[in-house]
Order: sequence, then structure tokens, then C-alpha cells
Amino acid sequence: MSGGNEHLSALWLATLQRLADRAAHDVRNALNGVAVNVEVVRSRAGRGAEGSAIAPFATAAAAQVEILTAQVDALVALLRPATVPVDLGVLLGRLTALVQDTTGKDVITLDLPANSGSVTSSAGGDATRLAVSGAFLAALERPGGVVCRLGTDEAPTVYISSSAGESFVVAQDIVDTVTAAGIQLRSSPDGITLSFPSSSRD
Amino acid sequence: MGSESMTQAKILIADDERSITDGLSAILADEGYTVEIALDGQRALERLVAESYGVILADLKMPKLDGIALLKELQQRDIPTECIIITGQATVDSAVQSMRQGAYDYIEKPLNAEKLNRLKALIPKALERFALHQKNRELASKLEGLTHYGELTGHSEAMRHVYQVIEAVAPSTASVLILGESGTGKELVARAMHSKSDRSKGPFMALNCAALPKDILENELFGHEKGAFTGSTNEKAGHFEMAHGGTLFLDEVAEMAPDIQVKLLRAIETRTIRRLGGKKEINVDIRIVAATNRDLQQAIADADLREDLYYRLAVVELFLPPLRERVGDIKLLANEFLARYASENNKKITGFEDTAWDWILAYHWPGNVRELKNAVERAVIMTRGTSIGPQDITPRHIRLSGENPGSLTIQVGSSMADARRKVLLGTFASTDGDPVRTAKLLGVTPADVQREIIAIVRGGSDEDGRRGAPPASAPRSQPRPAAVKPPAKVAAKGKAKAKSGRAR
Repeated sequence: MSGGNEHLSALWLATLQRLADRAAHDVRNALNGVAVNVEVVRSRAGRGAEGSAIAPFATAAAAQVEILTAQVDALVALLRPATVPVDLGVLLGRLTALVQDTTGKDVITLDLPANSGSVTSSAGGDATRLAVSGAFLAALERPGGVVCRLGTDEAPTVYISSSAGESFVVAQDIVDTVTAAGIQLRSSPDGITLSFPSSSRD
Repeated sequence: MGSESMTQAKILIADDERSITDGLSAILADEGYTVEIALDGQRALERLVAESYGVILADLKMPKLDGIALLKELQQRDIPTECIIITGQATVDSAVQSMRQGAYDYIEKPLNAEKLNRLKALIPKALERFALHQKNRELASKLEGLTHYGELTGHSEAMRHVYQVIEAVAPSTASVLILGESGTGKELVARAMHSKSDRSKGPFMALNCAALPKDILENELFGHEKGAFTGSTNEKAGHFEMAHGGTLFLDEVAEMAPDIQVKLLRAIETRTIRRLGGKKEINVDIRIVAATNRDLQQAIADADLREDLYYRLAVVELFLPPLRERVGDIKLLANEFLARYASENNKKITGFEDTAWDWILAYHWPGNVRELKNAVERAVIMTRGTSIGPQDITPRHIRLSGENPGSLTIQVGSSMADARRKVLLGTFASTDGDPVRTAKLLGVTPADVQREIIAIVRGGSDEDGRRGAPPASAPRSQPRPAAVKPPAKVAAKGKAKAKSGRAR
């Protein structure tokens, strides 16, 4: 592995850890929701309570299991080696599933075109993930939520902006590393635009 | 606090996770609690300001106001509630921080069955603490504006503390030793303690141990059988028997003869007495409240007071402050005495003149409340006007300090300050305590006279600042009775008791 690749891998690992750190609270909350609601079901069922007194809590526990499943799925997928070309819509979906609740409810808005599956990046898997995750985490640091949009005008493009219109910056070592991997990263007051080398999807 | 009243206190859950709050609320509601939910820290704070909650279960991570910030607000605003923090494992440090901020406890997520059981066990304890704090707050608030407690009068901090101790001690059966100078109202404290206790319907018997010869005191305490001694033609119950079911107040207990102290100790320990000349043990159910103005350290050292008796009597010690240490109460007391004696003597007296107040407030009242009461009573009787002037209220020994009205003897070699004081006091006495006439005779202003007399009364000189060296004719400040100090041998016990009973 070249020095550049090692640096890229180290940066991606560090970014993944930041994502996991943000997700930990949500994972624990979801587990908590499951545990508490199951306890209500167990306790009330044990006392022979009516179904109507039990059903809402069984439903709530099931909903928490769904959230937990999506979070674990997203984390496991991000831990696996990426397949190139990288589906940018799927990547954004996983990031959103992982950290959806870290700053409150429904603060991450995904604006994906109908044919989002065709928007892919042929840059390296780790480089693509690093670029999108780096911008995504930087936007999350700002209050008010994040808006993510996909575009295909000239090249596969990801637009990431803060819902409150606040500007933000991506760490310079991430910018340098992803630029070296062929990804263009442009900052403007409206947000960050990432342009990826195009490819047809496998 | 019974479980029924505990479940009446409301619980607030502060968490932004609806799935958790609903489930937790259901679990606690099933336990019989009334539960409400706030979905962020700010809303939780608003609810806590508006209503009373015994316990708040707060998530550490919440929008708007997190758990730690919420705790700080609760502390700063003095909002009464017990907070249990619910935290993720990664934030245990924050949970420790929250404990330092006054949280009752914390529980880590996820709330599995084991943690929920722990939470269920914690809540009654937290509610119990809340109820205890609430009771203390209510008591403090009840006593805050209080000017009277039983027959005691005073709204100074020192007296409020005395009331609090009485309130705390009265329901127990613990023996109480009241320490304080003569005239501070020790018997009134004992009466208040009796009237606030479960024994209030029983008798209150008071006995002054210094006022009676040894044999008579023994007879008064324990009674006698017929024929116990020459002339005892009938049997007689003593104070111990007569106080059965009530309170026995033993004043000046350190003056009791040593052999009676032994009998007293036995009676307190066994709760039985034997009459003089009697063979039968008589059970007595009494609460002993004793009092002394003696230096107990000295009394024990001199073998005047048995140390083991001291321990028995002083389960709780209560110090009554002298009047000079609660100046804030003097006006209240003086006005009450004025109203009482004006009414008793059918006199229409509107109040005290300003100069009389100067006197009353400046004088150090070595005889304490009793001296003030007597001074006001005398002033009411003696005054010819509709208000009390300084000449009416000035203590007699100050007014009569001149050796011979019209002449003074000043020793050759006396200091100028002493001579000045003698001239001032002599002239003041010759005018029957009239500062205006004194000033006129001496060629100074009435304010000068008052200032200097006050300085003399306080035991120093306004001129040379030598406090504590009063002239021979001026009253010396009575030494503070060392009775307020615990004996050296029992100092550790005295300290330990300070928390519960010592009023100082």
C-alpha cells in the first residue's frame, strides 16, 4: 500500500470513528426504547392486562428494532470495503440512517432524483466515502440540520448544505486527500459541492 | 413517609425519545405514580418552575437544555426536586459531574429489566428524601416570620434556631439540657418543648433544685411514705410521680446535692423511683428537661455535678442566647411588656420615647429578658406621662450610682477619665436620670450625655476607648456563664450533638 493510500485509509478510519461516535447515542437510545417497551409488555402481559394496554408498547418496541436494524446495517456496510463505482444515493442513505437522530428529529433532508441509482462515483471507494462523510459531518456540526442533494449535470455531484444557511468547512487534510483522488470539492457560502469522476454503474 | 403518600408525589420524565418516555411512563404509572413528560430540558424546567415534582428522571443528552444544565438551573433557582440522571455509558464522567451538581443518582442506558428494577427501587428513596427536604423547608418557612413560639418571644435568627431545635426535639423522649444565663427563659423553653410533644396532655412539673434544702428537695422529687420521717403523717407523691405521662423540668440542676444526683441518675436510667421510706418501685413515664446557668466544666471538675448524670441529662443540649446577643428582639419584647403592664395597671401609655429606645437598645441587660421585663414594669408604674422616657427605664443602679446627691468624692490621683465618669454619673443620678437636665448642668449636649452614659453602661469609655474597664460605680458586664461550654472530658460528645441539638 502506497503512502497516499495509507493516509487515505487512516483518514477514512478516523472519519468512520466520528460517525460511530455520533451514532452511539442513537444506538443506545434505540436499545433503550426496545428494553423499556418490552418491559412494559412483559409486565402487563404477566398481570393479564388487556391487549389494548399492551399493543402500543409492542408496536413502539418493533419501531425501535427497525431503527436499530437500519443503524446497524448502515454501520456494517460502511465498515466493509467499498465496491467501486460507489452509489452516492446509497452512501447518503446510510450516513443518514446512522446519524439521523443525533441533532434532533428529521433534520437530515435527502433530495434524491428518481434515477439516483445511476449517480455513482468511479473515484476510489474510501476516497468517495471520505469526501461525502467529511462534508456531511462538517455540516452536522452546524445547528439546524443538513440538506443533501444529488446532481448529474456535468458530473456526478453531491451538494451538502446547512438547513440554517450557515457556512462550514471541511478539514484541509480531507480536502487535499480527496482532491488527489480526483474528487473536486468546492466551498461556497451555500454549502459544499463535491464532483466525482463519472462512470457507468456496474 | 408511607408508600401511599410517596406515590402521590409526581414524577417528571425529561427525555426527547418518545419511545422511551412513553414506556417509562407506563412502567411507573403501573407502580402507582403520577407521571408527566417533558420532551426537552427547557420544557422540563418550565414544568418544574410551575409545579412540584418529587422526582425528575432526566436524560443527560437533551435538546435545548441538557441534563447538567437543567441540574444547574434547579440548584440556582432552588427548585425542590430529586433528580435521577439517565445516561449513556459513554457519558459516565458527565454522570459523575451531575452527582456533584446535586443529582440524587444516575442510571446507565440501556434500561434493561435489571436497571428498571434498580430505578423502581431508587424512586421511593428519592421521594422520601424529597419529602424530608420539603418538610424541613416548610418548617423553616413556618418559623421564618415567627415572632412567638409557645410563650417565647423573639424573631432573631438565634431564637428561630432555638424554635427549630425545640420543634425537632419535642416529639422525641430524649432528655434535654438547656443552657443559658439567668433570665433568658429556660423554663419557657421547657414548657414549649412539653406543649409541642405528644405528652402535652400530661402534666408539666417544674422544680428549682437550688431553691430547696437537700432533704426537702429529695422529698419533692421522690415523695415519701407515711411515717418515713418525723412528722410525715401522710404519704405524698413526689414530682417524678406527679409528672407521670408528662414532663419534669429541673431548673438549676447542677446545684443538686451529690447523693440526690445518684438517685436522680438511677431514676432516669430505670424509669422507676422509690418514695422516701418506701419499699415499692414505682414506674414513671416522664421526659426530663433540665436547665442550668452554671459552668458545667467547672461543676464537673469540682465534683458538684456527676459526669454520668450530665451525659444522661444532656442527650440534647440547647443553648439560649443572652438578650444582648439578640438585640433584634429587644424592641419586640419591650413593646410586649409595655402593652401587658400598661393593661394590667390601667394606664394609657403610647410607647417609648426615642431617647428611651436609645437606652433600651444600648444597655447590655445582664439580667436578660427578666431584667427587661422588670424594668418595663417599673417604668409603666412610675411614669407620669403617656410615654416612657429614659429616666423611667434607666436601670436603678445607674440612676442611684451617685454617692450623695449634690456632692462627689474623687480620690486624689484619679484619672481624668474616671473623674469625668464620676461627675457625669453623679449629675445624672442627681437629675433622676434626666439627660437634658444633666447636659444643662454639665454644659454639654444631651446627645453627649447619652453617648457617654451608653459607653459606661457598655463597660467602656467613649472618650478613651478603654472598653471592659468600667468605673467602680458603673455596672460590670456579667461574665458569660461558661455553662454553655461542654466539659473538656465530654467535648467530643458535645460536638457530635451540635448537629442535632445545640442551639448556638
